[in-house]
Amino acid sequence: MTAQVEFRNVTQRFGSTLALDDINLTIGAGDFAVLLGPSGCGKTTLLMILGGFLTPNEGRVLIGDSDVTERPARERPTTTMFQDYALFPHMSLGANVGFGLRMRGIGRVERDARARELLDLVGLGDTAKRMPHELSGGQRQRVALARALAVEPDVLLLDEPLGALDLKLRRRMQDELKQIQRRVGTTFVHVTHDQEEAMAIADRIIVMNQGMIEDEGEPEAIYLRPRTVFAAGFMGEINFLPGRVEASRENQLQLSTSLGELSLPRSAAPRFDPRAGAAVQICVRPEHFTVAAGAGWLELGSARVVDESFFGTHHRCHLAPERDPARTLVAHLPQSMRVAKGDAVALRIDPASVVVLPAADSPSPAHDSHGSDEV
Amino acid sequence: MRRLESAAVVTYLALLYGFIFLPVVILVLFSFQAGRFPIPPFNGPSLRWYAEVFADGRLTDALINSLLVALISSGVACLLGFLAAYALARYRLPGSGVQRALITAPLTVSYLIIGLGLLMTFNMVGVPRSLLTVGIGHVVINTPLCFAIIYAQIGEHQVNIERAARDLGASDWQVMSLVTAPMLAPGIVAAYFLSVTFSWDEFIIAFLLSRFDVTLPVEIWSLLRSGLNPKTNAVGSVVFLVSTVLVLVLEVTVFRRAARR
Repeated sequence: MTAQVEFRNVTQRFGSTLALDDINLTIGAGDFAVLLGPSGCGKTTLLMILGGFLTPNEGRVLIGDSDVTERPARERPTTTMFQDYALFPHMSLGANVGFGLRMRGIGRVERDARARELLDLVGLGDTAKRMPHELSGGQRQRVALARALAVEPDVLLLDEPLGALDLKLRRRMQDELKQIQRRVGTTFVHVTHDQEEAMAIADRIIVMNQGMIEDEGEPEAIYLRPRTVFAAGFMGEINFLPGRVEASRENQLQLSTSLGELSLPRSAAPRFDPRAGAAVQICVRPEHFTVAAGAGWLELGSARVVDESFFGTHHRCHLAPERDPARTLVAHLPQSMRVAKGDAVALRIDPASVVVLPAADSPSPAHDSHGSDEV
Repeated sequence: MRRLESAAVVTYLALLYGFIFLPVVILVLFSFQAGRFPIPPFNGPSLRWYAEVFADGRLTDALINSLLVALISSGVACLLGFLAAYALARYRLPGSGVQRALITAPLTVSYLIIGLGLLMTFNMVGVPRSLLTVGIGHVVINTPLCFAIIYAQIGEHQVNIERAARDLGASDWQVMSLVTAPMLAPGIVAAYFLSVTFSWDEFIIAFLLSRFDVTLPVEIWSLLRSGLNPKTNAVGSVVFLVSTVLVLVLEVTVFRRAARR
């Protein structure tokens, strides 16, 4: 069972704070959608509104073709997997998983059979008689998933369900969640502040900030072609280079920056119309810097290595470009390269990898959002 | 010096525990007296007075009355206390702070005042004194206690669990009876047993509000009026034994289990 979800002009206020500001969003049936954003961005509020735990001040919520805005949680075709799992501590796992079916008046025999089936699905077969307090965090989480899926909801809501797990287990659960979602075909709406988790599981990511949607699309599109400076910074480490449009031609963009004149394809600014004289932010992911020469690549002069650390897959370096020594760029240089502090390297980028965004909204601190373990 | 200190500690503890438990020990000891007076010298042991207690129809009737009043009034007090605690913890009610204070206020009022007030009220309304009125009196004094114990057990961490139940299709009534109450079971059982022990040996309210059918403490009081007698010791020991058993059951079933979680 699966259904499309639609938010129409949803606004939510808490006192004088605007938690959600006129949200319009459609999530396709069977999608694994991730609401991604920092704490307080409104993602959990949106989930609570979808689950029926909160009625929005304005706007409508549709699941499938029916308007569910006024319907309480128990009458919605949604179930939720809570951050703290919220298992019933006094019931066996079988009774936990079968609870929703019990509320629907289904007999014990059928309930137990279905509960066993779902515990099997999440890899916990033969545990129906055990109690929640006998389980580890990861196991509890699976039970919570089985319980939410037992009633065959059209939409499953996941409220930061992996937040309490350690990194290794989290990676494994991400894979499992995705597999299970493929198998049952239910629409999943998952909330997280971890952009790596979002990329690992989502078909579609919705980046939120301050009650608004900053960007939405496939993980690759948001990472490589972000629509806003916030989305660019939140999806992973990125360098922002302020610049000015000198000329905008049909398929070419001429920019001036502290690292010199840059000539970029018009497609570097796909989502706005850069006019001559406009202030822009030029966004470059650390892995897009290269030291080797290539045809058509932009030369940014040489840079000095200020700091270097080896990350396994790459060297993460802080670079001070010669043309603007006060600026620090973060670059991921190839694993095989030998780099040391104080070295001078040539900086180049493939123009196709560069994104130009309007500078109207000030960039968020470029490196802050990379640490995904903020609460 | 160390020795002297530890001797002082031992003496202090002996005095303290002696002060607390000696009266009870003497009461229980002389209930096994073979002679006719509960005074030294002790000559026994003998179960003669226990046999007399259980042969005395008025005492056994009073004992059964006491049990009935304690078990039923505690059940009612627990139910009312739970409902009030759940409502005040989960819903936004007008003046909830004031309401909470009002519910717990009777804890600070003396049983004498409550008993007198109830007596006058029942007289005015025309309700005759009986075990029912005693039971009502015990509900009045135990509901605040049950409320306070259960209210303290309700926390924010259960909110999501109740939400999950609702999310899976439970009605408000089902959430309360299938999820909230079972989760609070340790607190509810503790409140119940404590309430039973309080009702079991409560005298003033039972005395003021009963007439022909009386509870055990009232019957013991009338026994005492005819002078000291090892029979009163025996029945007092029975009261003490029941209270002790209740406390032990409470300790083993509720607190041990709570500690395990």
